[in-house]
Amino acid sequence: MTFSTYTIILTYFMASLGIAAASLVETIEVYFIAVASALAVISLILNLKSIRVVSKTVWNLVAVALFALFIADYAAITGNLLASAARFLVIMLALKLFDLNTGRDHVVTYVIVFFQILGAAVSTSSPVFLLILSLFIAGGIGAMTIFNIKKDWQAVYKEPSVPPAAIFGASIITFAAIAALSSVIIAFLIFFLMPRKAIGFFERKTANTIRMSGFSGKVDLGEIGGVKTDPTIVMRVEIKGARPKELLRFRGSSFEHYDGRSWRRRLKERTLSGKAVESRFIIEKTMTGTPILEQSILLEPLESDVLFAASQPIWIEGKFQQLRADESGSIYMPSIPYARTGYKAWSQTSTAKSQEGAPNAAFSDTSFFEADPSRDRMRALAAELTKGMKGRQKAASIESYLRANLNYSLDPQRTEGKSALEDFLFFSKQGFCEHYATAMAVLLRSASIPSRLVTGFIEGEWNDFGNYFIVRQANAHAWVEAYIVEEGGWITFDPTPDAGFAPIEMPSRLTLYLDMLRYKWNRNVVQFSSEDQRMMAFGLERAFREALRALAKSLSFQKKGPAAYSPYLLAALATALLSAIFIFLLVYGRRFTQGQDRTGSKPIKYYADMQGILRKKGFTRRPEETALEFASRVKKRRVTEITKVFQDERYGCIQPEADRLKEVEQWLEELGRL
Amino acid sequence: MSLRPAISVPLPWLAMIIGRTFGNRKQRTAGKKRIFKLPRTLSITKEGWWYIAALFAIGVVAINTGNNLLYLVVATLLSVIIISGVVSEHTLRRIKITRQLPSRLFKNSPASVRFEISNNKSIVPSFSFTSRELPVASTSAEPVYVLKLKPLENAIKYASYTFTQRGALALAGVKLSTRFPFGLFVKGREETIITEVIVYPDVTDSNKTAAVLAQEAVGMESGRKVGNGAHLRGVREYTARDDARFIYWKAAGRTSRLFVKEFEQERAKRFTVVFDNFKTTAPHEFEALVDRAASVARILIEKGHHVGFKSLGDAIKPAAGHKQLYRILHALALIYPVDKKGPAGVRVESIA
Repeated sequence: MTFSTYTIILTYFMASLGIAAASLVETIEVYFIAVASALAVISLILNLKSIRVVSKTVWNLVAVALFALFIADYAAITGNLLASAARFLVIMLALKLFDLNTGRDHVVTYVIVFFQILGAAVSTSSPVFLLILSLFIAGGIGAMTIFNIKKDWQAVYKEPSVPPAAIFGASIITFAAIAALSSVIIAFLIFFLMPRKAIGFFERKTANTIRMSGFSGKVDLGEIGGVKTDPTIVMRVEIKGARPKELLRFRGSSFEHYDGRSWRRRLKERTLSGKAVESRFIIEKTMTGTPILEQSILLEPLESDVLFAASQPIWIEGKFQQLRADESGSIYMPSIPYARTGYKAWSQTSTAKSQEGAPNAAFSDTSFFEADPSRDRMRALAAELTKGMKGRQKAASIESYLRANLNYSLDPQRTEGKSALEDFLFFSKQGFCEHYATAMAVLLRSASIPSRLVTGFIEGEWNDFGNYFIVRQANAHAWVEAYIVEEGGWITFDPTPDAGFAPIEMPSRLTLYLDMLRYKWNRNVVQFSSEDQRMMAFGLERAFREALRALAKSLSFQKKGPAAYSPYLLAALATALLSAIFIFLLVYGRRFTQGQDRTGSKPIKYYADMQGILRKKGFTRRPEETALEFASRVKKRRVTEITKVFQDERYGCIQPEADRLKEVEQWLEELGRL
Repeated sequence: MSLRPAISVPLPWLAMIIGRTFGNRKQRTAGKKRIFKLPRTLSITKEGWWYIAALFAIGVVAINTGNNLLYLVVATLLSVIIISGVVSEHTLRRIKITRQLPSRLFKNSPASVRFEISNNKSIVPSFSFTSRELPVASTSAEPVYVLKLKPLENAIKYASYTFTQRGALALAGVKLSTRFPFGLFVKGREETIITEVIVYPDVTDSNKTAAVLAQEAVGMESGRKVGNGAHLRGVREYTARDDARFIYWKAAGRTSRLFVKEFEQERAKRFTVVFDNFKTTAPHEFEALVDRAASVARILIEKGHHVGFKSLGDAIKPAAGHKQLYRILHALALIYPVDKKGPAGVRVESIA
């Protein structure tokens, strides 16, 4: 293969990366990528046969026309700079592949690919990006190296002479691979160390948000049913420490006004303040002695401004300029973010949500009964279920009644009842979480216990690779909070039977692993923030301090028993020291052992080779024999000559000429053949 | 016990340290004006500037958007610069270069200089680097380019050097430089190989003045006696006394009479090239005279004559052969104008 064939292969490798990067841009259609790939293949065939169909002038004219089209596309059609730029670059790339004449054309191709990768960087959050970037670095390093060598070569030997294709050999490939690997490692080091600002000025928004049910100001009864089969991932919740034993409910919104058809929330919201630590928002006062669950939550771009956290969030940390909360403890962002949102939440999970003073009258409101024809049946049912009971017992009784006597179904039948609730309680007796929760809230209120409907998500699949829950749309859930006077706060009740918690499908181990990669990439790279940087610095400092302490402890003379003695640490230290010495000797050893540099220790090597060959033929140098004596015993002219070259170098420090060494090589071959 | 050894022992050391410190300083100020010298030189290529500009542009976008993947791209671009630095360092490190000049150098005629370049690294190959002679006045040297040197490999390269002035000259060394690996930066390292050379004057006699001078000199001494030399003197009729070997058979064929060829007597003549090295009004005139004297000496010696040399301060006895020529050329290479009034010029004196 010639030099140009190699460069063409390299360029097509880069072009395929460019097309792959373009496919990551969210607004690029599949057929567009398919057409570009087909064009690339056709051009590859033409290029390998050295057929040029597009002349320089034509390409330049077309490029200008395309640029005009791109401006028109952006200004008049899409209005989306990224989409039109991505499309423009793909067409440019496909066309450029038909015009690969000079080295400059190849370089232009690489530049186009680089811009495509930039486009992908702005648009995507897929971990495939890392793969493309790494391959681009490897290819780019290879290309820059080759073209630089070509340029140097042509500076000496003038065009059109090109360097021998042999430079594409193993050493350049090894070099490019090692350089690319080190580049990725160094890049990540720099990436994590580079100073960040807390908030970017022009953060990019996405239009591809996930539609949500149950978190707007008004929720119709039966609304959540539509998403209960949707496997779209809504969020991932990483848990610090072990997986909690009890079922986690990630609380979103709560609703207090019911009108027989839908729930509404009208509670007054307050702006959260009191940042003890930067970007920390306090929601509740901490109760001492209760376990606190730390969660790191990554929300997908949702069509909602609700923030989720397990049961009772106490404080939230995140890149928010402001947060709002209502008195029920629901937390809202200032607006829908139209982007992935990462934050941390600390929650109490096991106690009642405290309430100062009497609860808002809205939680006890039963005005909807006025219009409801089945109010008397409901009141009767509530009275029957709570007969002779007090506070919490009443609620538990209603909860267990609903759980035991009604059927879970995602597709409840409408029968003769006048409302969905009446159908659920008295006729079809079929429904899902929202029906159960509404029924319980209504029954509680008719038994004069303040109550509210809470919407959110239950925990999804547990991914033990990354210690997090994958929460999907299908995990959307509704439950009830009731104010129990004797407990002095709000208690969570969930009347939905176990059928409502069955997972839709268990993902395979591979899927879980890939999801972990995707999550880690998003959490640690795409969402990396100044906050994470601070935490990383603290973590490093702590680790360093602990290591020092452990070291001091293990080296301390005042050891208290065998436990204070750490043989592992000493062993690790010794290993580190030994390997450092070994590496030092490997790199600099020559200088010390040989006094001076013996570049051409080749003769010595050749002499050893010769001895090896002769040994096979039955001549072994005796210990008492000098090199020349040995040679005279062998009685071969070549042997004597090689010995002389060896002796000159070994004892006279006379380095043989390159030609002479070549001769020695030939003689060795001759000897081998004898 | 005397205190003498205790005091005297450090004294030589002290003297040496002081001598080294001050001696070096003196040398440094006398030689190059550079006080602080870095072990490597670095300059940014055109491509490098573009690269840095792109890096800054993307960096600004990354900061303004807070997009982490753009930060990652910036980090990658930075890491490539770091790798470039490490790799170019390894390309130049432990490259040993020796330069061998031809034993005789002449002004204005290109000399082929032999370089032996060896890679003393045991693992890492070196790619694409150039060795250039450190600039010395009146010397133009071709660079030497090495595409690849495997670990522990050495290569022989030749480069053409041209000196435009005669005299003693010191070549300071070479500068190894490379744009490897990415062509963003040029890294250089100076390797000191001091070689003193004597450049002889131009002996090519481009305007033929020396040839005329030599011709005149030889013509003065026209003892054209018959002998058994190499030059034909004439043709005459054969006599019985003549040797049959010199019969001119071609003429015999045409005229059917016998002729013999007569040759000139071959006798080395003795000359002295006299150079009145008075100062001339323009330096180049003096140089032209030096070249003329050298050329005359060369022409005469090549004709087999005994040639001597005489200037205002120097004299070489006549002798034949190339050794004598180089003796004269050496004297001419180092000659300088005498600052006295007198007609500068070159003439050839014949010695009986």
